[in-house]
Parts: sequence; structure tokens; C-alpha cells
Amino acid sequence: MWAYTVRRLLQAIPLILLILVINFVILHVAPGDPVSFFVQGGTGATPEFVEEIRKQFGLDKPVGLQLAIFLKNVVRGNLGYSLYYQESVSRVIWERMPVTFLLVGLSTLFASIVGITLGAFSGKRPYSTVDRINTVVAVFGYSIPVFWFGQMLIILFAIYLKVLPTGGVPIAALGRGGLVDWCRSLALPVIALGVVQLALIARITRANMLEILGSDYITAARAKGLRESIVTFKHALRNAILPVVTVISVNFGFFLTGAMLVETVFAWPGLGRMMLDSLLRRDYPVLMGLLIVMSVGVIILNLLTDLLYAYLDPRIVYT
Amino acid sequence: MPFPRLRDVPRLAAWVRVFWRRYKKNKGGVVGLLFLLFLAVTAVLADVITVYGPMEPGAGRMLQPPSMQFLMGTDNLARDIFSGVVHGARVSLVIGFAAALTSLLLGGLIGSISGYFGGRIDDILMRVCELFQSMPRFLYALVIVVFFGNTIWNVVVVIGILSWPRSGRMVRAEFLRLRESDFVIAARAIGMGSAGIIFRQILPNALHILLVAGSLDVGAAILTEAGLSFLGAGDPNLMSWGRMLYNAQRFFRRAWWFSLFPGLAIFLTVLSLNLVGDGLNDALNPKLKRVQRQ
Repeated sequence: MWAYTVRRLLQAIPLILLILVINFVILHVAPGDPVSFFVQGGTGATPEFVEEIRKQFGLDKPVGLQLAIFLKNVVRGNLGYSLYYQESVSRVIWERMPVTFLLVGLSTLFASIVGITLGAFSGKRPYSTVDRINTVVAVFGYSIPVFWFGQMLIILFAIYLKVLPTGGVPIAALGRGGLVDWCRSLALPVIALGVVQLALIARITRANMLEILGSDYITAARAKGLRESIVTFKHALRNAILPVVTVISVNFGFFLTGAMLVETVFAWPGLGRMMLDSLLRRDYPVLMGLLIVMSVGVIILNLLTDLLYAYLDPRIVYT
Repeated sequence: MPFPRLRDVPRLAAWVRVFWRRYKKNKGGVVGLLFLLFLAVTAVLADVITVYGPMEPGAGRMLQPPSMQFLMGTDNLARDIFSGVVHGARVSLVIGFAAALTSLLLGGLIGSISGYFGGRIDDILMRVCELFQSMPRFLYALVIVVFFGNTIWNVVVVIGILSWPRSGRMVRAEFLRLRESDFVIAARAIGMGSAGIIFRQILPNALHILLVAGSLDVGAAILTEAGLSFLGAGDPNLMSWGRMLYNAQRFFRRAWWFSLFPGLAIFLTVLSLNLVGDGLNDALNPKLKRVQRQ
């Protein structure tokens, strides 16, 4: 187990370094002088001030040295300074992270509960009504643009039926209206984002259930005279949902970007919103910081999942 | 079910017959194909079908609900939404197919080399593949398009480059399966070089894999482009479905038709492409499992 952990860690480090170099290259190959974008925001910038900024960010040094400075800073957790926010980039990102993670976390939870239930029943009875529903939900989830789905949910539930609010500030709402209002304001964004994960999770659970229900140990459990519900839910389902962990982890980057789009529709003050604003302002340090945090975050999450998986499933041999 | 040579007409005809007999068993695939044909005709005839131009302001009153004159209503600049949806089909189809072609060329090339040579080359290329797969694709596409300019061709190239890993992996798996077959050993025995074996012997037998991967890539590319345009990062000179949803974002609460129709167009197109992909997979790859999405 330890050898496996160390080996996976050593594999992840070059991957992270490579991602950082790619990010650095993208921002430096892009046309336009980053300095001009930082100063644009403030009025009446003097040439001295421009030089000052250039020095502060190491932009006057040769490219090789800039990369070295960049890597050193990232390793220390220093992602630069945003002139617009007048704050360090890591702090700016850190402050908005909970809101985005709340959305991603809740929709993952929603998608897992519904997806596993749907997948389990349709794997149990393939080609039944539930299975047909499952197929429709899956095809739907793969094809629908999440942001449009969000808009449609608002039109239907908030404008015409008037049963749910259109979204809003999730954390402030907890203070003002209590738990029920808070849940109501979260419902639409969570469903909008969750539908894609739901499709993936239901599909994978169904496939696993089908495979496992045909295996020898299930036949053995039935032969022993166990009740069918125990065989299905205790023996089969527990093994069938393990790969769901992998599906969630592998697609995490995808959900994170889906969350950006959903945040735009529901006006959520999360990372997605900040990314969009920073793009328009050409706030390079914030963009770079976000790219780094998100892409490195995905690699680390995948690493942790692999390790967790090896721990959860004793059949995996660490070689 | 590999393709026959195009010059061999009788075998090609037989291949098409067998293919269609298998393909039409999948009802979803047939419906999807019909919808795509309908869409392609609409895109070609866009200027004939519509009365007003998609970018023509003042065609009617602002935010007018659907009527006989404006089938899908008008937007905030009094433009005809029906015309936008019809012309948007061109943009989405061109971007979708061009981006998928780019990704297939890259994926086909990298997958062939990786699967044929194996060993160290395969190891390195597969690490690169993992690197691309772990990058949040949409985020990178967004940043690159905003920095390097949001022209339609930048959008195509970026989406193409970021989405090759799926087809690359599929082609690699087919090459691994085929590289020890008798016809490859025979080609090697008569002294054919690696390039000849890869491109003239194995690749023609793996082309059907690219067709399946491609149909899924087109749908994914259309969704990505729609997302980019929805954030205002699409080509500003073209009326695309994503751009219409971007315009609608401030008005859809008052004017449901503004976002319903463009979004429905994206949804139905991507849905059809996915159904066709499943149909092609069932017809061409009957023994293999369904392709993993995303």
C-alpha cells in the first residue's frame, strides 16, 4: 500500500509541473502586454507606475527566469496580486471557493442519490419501465446545455408556477430566511447542474448492477436462501456503486466548469462569476490563479480517489 | 465492420446494404439521422427560408411573442429569432464538424503511432493523453479564445486540440488489436515500411472507429461552442445559438421565447448526434460495448 501511494504521488508531480508550464506558456504567448491591462483600470497611470508594476510581477526579466519565479511562487502558494481586487489572488479565490463548492457538492449529492437509485432498479430489471426512464434521462443529460436547462427551470418554476425563487445569494439567504428558504433557493441551480452527473452515475450504476447480478457470488447468495432484497441491496449494490466514486472524480473538472455556467444563469457570486469578470478585465493574475487551482485541484482529486479506491476495494492489488 | 475500398463498387454496395440493415434496427439512430438531414437542408437554404436577416435590427417590435409573422418572436433589438435559429444552424454545424475533424486528425495520428509502435513512444503519448484529459477543457478553451481572439477558426482549433484524447484512445485500442494480425505480418514480410503499414494497411481497417468517435465529438464541440458563446466569448460577427442565449440572459424572464428556441435547437442537434453515434456504434462495432461518454 505504501509503495503504491508513493508511486502514484511521484506520477502526479510531473503532471502538475507540466500543467503549470502550459498555463505559463498560454499567458505569455497571448498577444498584448499584461501590464497595460493592470494599469488600464486606474486613471492617469504614469510610465513610472507601469515600470513599477512590471518589476513587481517580474515582467522585465527573461522568460526563463520568469518561469522559475512563477514556479517558486506557486509552490509557496503565492499566486500573485490582483490590482482590481486590491488583494492577493489566493485570498480572492479562497473567499469565493465555498460558494462554488457548495453548488458542486450539493448537485453531486443529489445526482448520486437519484442516479444510484435509478441505476440500481434499472440494472435489476433491464428493459422495464424504470430502465426506459433511465435511458431517457441519460440521453437527456448528455445532450442538454446546462445553462439553457437552468434558464428553462427558472421560466417554469420561478416565473410561471411561482413555487421556487430564481436563485440568489445562497449564504446570505441562510441568515435571512432560515433553512427552508435556503433549500428552496438552492433547488433550481442544484438540479440544473446535477442532471449531467445524474446521467453519468445512473448509466454506470446500471452497467455494474447488470454485470454483478450475473456473477457467481450472487448465485451463491441466492442459493443460500437469502432474501432477494438483501442480495440486491447488500451484496450487489455495494459493489456496484464503487465505480461511481471514480466517475465523479474523473469528471470533476467538467462539473466545475458546468458550475461556472450555472452560476452565470443564477447570478451566484462564485468562482465562475469571478472568472468571467476577470476575463473581461484581463485580470491576468486572477485568471492564471484560477486555471492553476482548478487544474491542479483536479489532478490531486484524481490521485486521492485512486488511493481511496485502493483502500475501499480490497480486490485491487497494489503493483 | 471495416470499410471496403471505394474503387471496389460491388463490395461497397454490399457493405452499405449490410450497414443499413444493422443501422435501421436502432430507431433512435434513424430519427437522429433524419433530424440532422433536416437541419443540414435548413442550414443550406437559410437565406431562402427566412424573410429577415439574423442580424437585421428593427425587423419588428422589440420582444414580440411568437406570431405568424415572427414564428419564434423577436429579441431585444427587434430581430427575428426564427432567422437567428435557422442561420445559427450553419454556425453550429460548421464549428461542430470542423472541430471534430481537427480532433479526429490529431487523435487518429497520435492513436495510430501510439498503438502501432507501443513501448516507450506509447508510454509518453499516453501520459500526454492523460494530461489533456485531466485539464478542465472548457476552462482552457475559454481562456485561450479570449486571449487569442474569438474568431470562429480559433474556436474550432481550440476545441479540436482539446478533445483528441477520446478518439486517440479508441484508435490506439484498435491498432493494438490489429497490429499482430496476419495481414500486417504479411505486409511486414514483403518489406513494407512502418508508415505504409500504419496508413495503408491498419488505418483503413480502423476508420469505422473514427466515424463513431467523430459523431460524439461533433455533439461535444457544439455544446462547448454554445457554452463559450453563452459567456460572450464566441465570434461576435456571427449569430450562433449560444450567442442568442447570451443575449437572452437579461431578458428571458420576461420573454420565454428568446431563450427557448435557440436552446431547443442546441439540445435537439446534440441529442441527434448522440443517437446517431449510438446507432453507428451498434452497426459498426457490434461486439464492443458502448463508448464511454465525456
